Amino acid sequence: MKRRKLKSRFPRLRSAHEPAAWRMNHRPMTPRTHFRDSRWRTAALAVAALTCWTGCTDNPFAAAPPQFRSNLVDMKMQGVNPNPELEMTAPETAPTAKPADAEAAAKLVEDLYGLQLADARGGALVKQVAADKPASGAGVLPGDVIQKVIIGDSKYSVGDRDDAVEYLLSKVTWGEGVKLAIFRDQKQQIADLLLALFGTPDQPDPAQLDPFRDPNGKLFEEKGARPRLVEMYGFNLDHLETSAGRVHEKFGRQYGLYRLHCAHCHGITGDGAGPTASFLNPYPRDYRQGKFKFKSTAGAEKPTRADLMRVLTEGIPGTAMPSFRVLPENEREALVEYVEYLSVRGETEIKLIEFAAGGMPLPSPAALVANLPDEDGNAPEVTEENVVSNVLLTWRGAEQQIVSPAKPPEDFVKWVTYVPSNLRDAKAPAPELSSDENARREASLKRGRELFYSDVASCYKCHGDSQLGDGQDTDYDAWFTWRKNLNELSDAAERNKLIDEYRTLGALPPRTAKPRDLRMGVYRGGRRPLDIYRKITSGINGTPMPALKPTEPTADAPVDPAKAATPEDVWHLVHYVMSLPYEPLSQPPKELEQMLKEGWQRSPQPEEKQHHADKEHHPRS
Amino acid sequence: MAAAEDFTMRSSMAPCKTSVRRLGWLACAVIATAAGCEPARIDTVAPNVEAAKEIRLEIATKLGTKTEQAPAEEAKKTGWATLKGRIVVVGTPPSPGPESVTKDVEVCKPGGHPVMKQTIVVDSATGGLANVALYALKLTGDNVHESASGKGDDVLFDQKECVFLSHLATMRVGQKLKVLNSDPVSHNTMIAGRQNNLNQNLGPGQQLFFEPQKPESVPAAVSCSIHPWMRAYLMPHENGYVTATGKDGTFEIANLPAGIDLKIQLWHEVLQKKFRDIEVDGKKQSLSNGVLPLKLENDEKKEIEIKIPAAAFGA
Amino acid sequence: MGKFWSLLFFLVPALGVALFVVSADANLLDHWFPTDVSEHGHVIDGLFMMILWLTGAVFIATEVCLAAFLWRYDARSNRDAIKFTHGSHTLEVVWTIVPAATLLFIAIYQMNAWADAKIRQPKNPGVEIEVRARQFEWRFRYPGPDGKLYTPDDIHFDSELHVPVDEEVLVHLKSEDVLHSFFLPNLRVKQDAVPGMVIPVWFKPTKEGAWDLVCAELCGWGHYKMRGRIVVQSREDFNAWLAGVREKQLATQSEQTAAK
Repeated sequence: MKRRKLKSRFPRLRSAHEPAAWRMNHRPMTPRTHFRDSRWRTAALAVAALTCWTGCTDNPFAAAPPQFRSNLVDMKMQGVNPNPELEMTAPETAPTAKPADAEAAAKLVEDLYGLQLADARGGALVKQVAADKPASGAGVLPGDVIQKVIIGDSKYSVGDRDDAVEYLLSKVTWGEGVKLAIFRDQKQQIADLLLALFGTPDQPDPAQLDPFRDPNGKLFEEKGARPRLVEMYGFNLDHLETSAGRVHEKFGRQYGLYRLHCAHCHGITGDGAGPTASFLNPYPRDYRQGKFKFKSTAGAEKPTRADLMRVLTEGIPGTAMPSFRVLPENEREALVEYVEYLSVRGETEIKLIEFAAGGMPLPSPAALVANLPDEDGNAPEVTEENVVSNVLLTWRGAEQQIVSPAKPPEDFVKWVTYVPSNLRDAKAPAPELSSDENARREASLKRGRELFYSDVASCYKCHGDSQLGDGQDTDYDAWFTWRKNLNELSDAAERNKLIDEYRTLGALPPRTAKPRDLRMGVYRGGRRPLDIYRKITSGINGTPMPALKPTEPTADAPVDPAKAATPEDVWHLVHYVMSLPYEPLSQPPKELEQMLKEGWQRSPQPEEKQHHADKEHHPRS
Repeated sequence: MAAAEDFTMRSSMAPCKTSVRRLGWLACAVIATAAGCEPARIDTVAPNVEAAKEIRLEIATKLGTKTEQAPAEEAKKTGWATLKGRIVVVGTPPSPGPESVTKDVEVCKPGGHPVMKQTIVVDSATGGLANVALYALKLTGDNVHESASGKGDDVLFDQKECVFLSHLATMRVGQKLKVLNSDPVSHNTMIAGRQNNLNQNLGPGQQLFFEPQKPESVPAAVSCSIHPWMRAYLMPHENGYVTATGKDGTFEIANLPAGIDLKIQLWHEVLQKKFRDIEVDGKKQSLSNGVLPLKLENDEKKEIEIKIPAAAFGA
Repeated sequence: MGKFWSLLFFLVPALGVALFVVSADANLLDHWFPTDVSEHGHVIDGLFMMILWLTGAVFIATEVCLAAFLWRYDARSNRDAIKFTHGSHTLEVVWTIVPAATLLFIAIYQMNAWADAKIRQPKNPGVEIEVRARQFEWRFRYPGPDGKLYTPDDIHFDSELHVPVDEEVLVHLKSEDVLHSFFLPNLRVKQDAVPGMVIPVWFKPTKEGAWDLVCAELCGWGHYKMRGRIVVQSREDFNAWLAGVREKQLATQSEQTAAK
């Protein structure tokens, strides 16, 4: 009403011949009018739209790390894990009936591959394809449909479509009978099995699945007492329930420990790809492979509980894994139990996928959990089908694989705590060594240095001539074995394609495994001489670090120092490695020059360096 | 107050223009948002609680009860036979290109000549495809000849000039792998299989013995961390019915059980188990998952020829 | 504004002061000072109280004045004409000099405390420790038997800072990545850890026990749980503990016996 009054009172101002631009520029600029100004509005809306678009899509402007995709998180919340390596293979099964016509083919493809062809657009296209294709007796192949539908459909990006086409075409053969890839079907089966056998990471043993309990977890009286399934595996259910689930406090006890302390890096299912994982170097551990680096057991064996507890308590210096010493002991024990649970669950899933990918039928559920290890960790009748038991046995058997090194030379502790002259001063009277002891110490260093640069241990090849970890950096860790294949692809475009394929499945961008810089004095997984000895003689599981097996000298078979190393030699090597952070890099010891004079031949320098000018070195791209 | 009048008059001046523009912006925002949100790219599978309940019930009822069911009737062999043949490539497959030798160049790239990759090795004269693994699946007990089971001789696995001399080594569980290093530099032999693991340093002229404890379902990759381009494959099989094609593409598996349905798995590192649109003895065939079904007569020496089109190796 | 409103608004400072007094007096809900277990903590607490009294007095005075003016010069009951004044030079001088003098007084009053805490580094501390802050933990390095840091016999530990009681502790504070802050609430010690700098921090605990060590500078998503413990022990216990850690750190034999 007011507006009309003004209009009638000031007709001039209403008309269009008043220069609008002048009025626009001479308006009072209150914040409200300022925003209503179209420039502001344009900018605000553009920013909002761009944010939506970049947040939802994986476009070149701002590719969100895969773990921010909601579907991936949903899968993980439900406890289903896409393992990139094994996702790419799929099983084939026995022939089924050939679809009669285009519609049936479309329906079949939809059922199997989850591709939505059944909507009007898809259906119409299917009919069109059927009309176009000359009659060949085979009807409309899914490949034809997919070619037309997917390539013509803006729902999928170009990379998706190409991959889908190639993948589906490679799995489909039409000819005598019809052989189709039913990977979705078996994926569903595996997901159901995993839920039944291990629950979800949030609820390791949901009461609703237990046939002997009511939804409140109370046992049905008539069925009699039965242990919970997860307890039958040997897990402490109390610990699992403290670690799993949402974070809350009940009766003074903290629940949801894993989510509270670990899940953001290690992921909900222990896949090492939590929300913070992509920002970390090195990436957090993926428990699902059952491979752990820092342990007291030999080779590819599992770590012991004490190993896991050590890593949790002391952290891993040089990585983002902090020390959790301040947590009460019972909470740490609960977490260790939960880590083992996640690892067993993950490994079982991988083995089931391997069954399926190998074209073999999945074992029956009863067979999967048959022959579980008893209290002593034995399961004498276990077969290949008893997957869960096989995995559990590897954990039970870890204690027997502890590496117990031979005793070091007598003065060893004195050697590794010896303060060299350049670090002494009057204020710090470090204990001196007698001339005998000094001679032995020097001899030990000499032998260690020899071994380091020799071909018996060939440490310098990877750790570098100056022990800076710059010997090489083109190899990969084993947590995603697909990364190994990157070495075989020398064409940058092919490498990027492979990387993209795996990234769409949730893998983190690959990084090469860098050998340790031994001059920093940072030792991941333990700085004790014992730990370094173990790393040298067993290698580090999952990494390119190989084992140097020492040879015990016997009376009639003495060890040639140029060809092999005795356990004592390995201790000398440990001594040398531990002395490196205190050896000035710019002044190589005269012993090294002496060694060169004595004819030690270093291997020739590389002529060409391989440059990976591709996605690997751009962490966020 | 001039300011207030200006303000109200501004809004009254062009109501249609402003609201149309506003609608336009709103529509843009909606379209941008909708266009941005894609359907899920990964084929997600959510576990079914009902199915899981049924599985649990099945476990609960069957666990602990030893179902005394008779083992599946194993087909009885009628004798022994031999399978021989050749695998050739029809056409010219792509050349794999040179390895990128980045370490120990004097040893690994002698004379500076480029070292070719061994991923696709085709004999120029006969077209034979080397390094194809053939192994018989699911043969146990009586169906395995005594020469193909139990302990056996050591299998040699050597490396020279930073190349594994046997690109595809086959053996059975019960044999030992004798790994040698005939180079003046050290190599570390890393075997990363699903069931077998090894990662040990080997000095020049040294040897080590590796005994696989379990058979692998696909050949395990063997590599060297010091020279990461080195690659070979090791196939420890549960019995001795495993071989690899030689340089000329020929192979032979002796003492196979005759009279029963055999499943011979083919595997090549580039093709993996994809053997489609191939010709077996002149007839077009596509192998499902690389498995060749066969049935041999007693004392038969069957010769087959498998032709793989060069297009299968990718352009 | 009626007189009612002026009373209502006066309730805010009145209740605030009341709460303060009650809280300090009865340590209501543990909201007063944490237990002081250090030698110089009382100096910091003293400074706090001095400033509290000073500013408290000024606060009460100004609030009372404000409430009084609101009451007295309420518009409805005060119909006198408004007189405009061009200011008073004297008043301006007074209310510049008095606060300046007060601040100067505070600055001089605390100089000694600051020097004690930040400038007068102890010459002979009982123990020197390197404290490294990193996302999201605390790592410590003790000198070994040679008494000097950064030599091969140093002893490494994490999360639990053990110190002997009744001895001056000198901490060399470092950061491995971003800004953190070394905060010991019970010892009234707080010092930012700046990457690239080594900052000396010293304190002398006087009571045995385990106290808090927290991070007081936002350092990332885990800042809220970047906690540790400072464990104050008698000298004998401390030596025994350090020797135990050293022994474990120099272990050359397996700590677990392989189960047969």
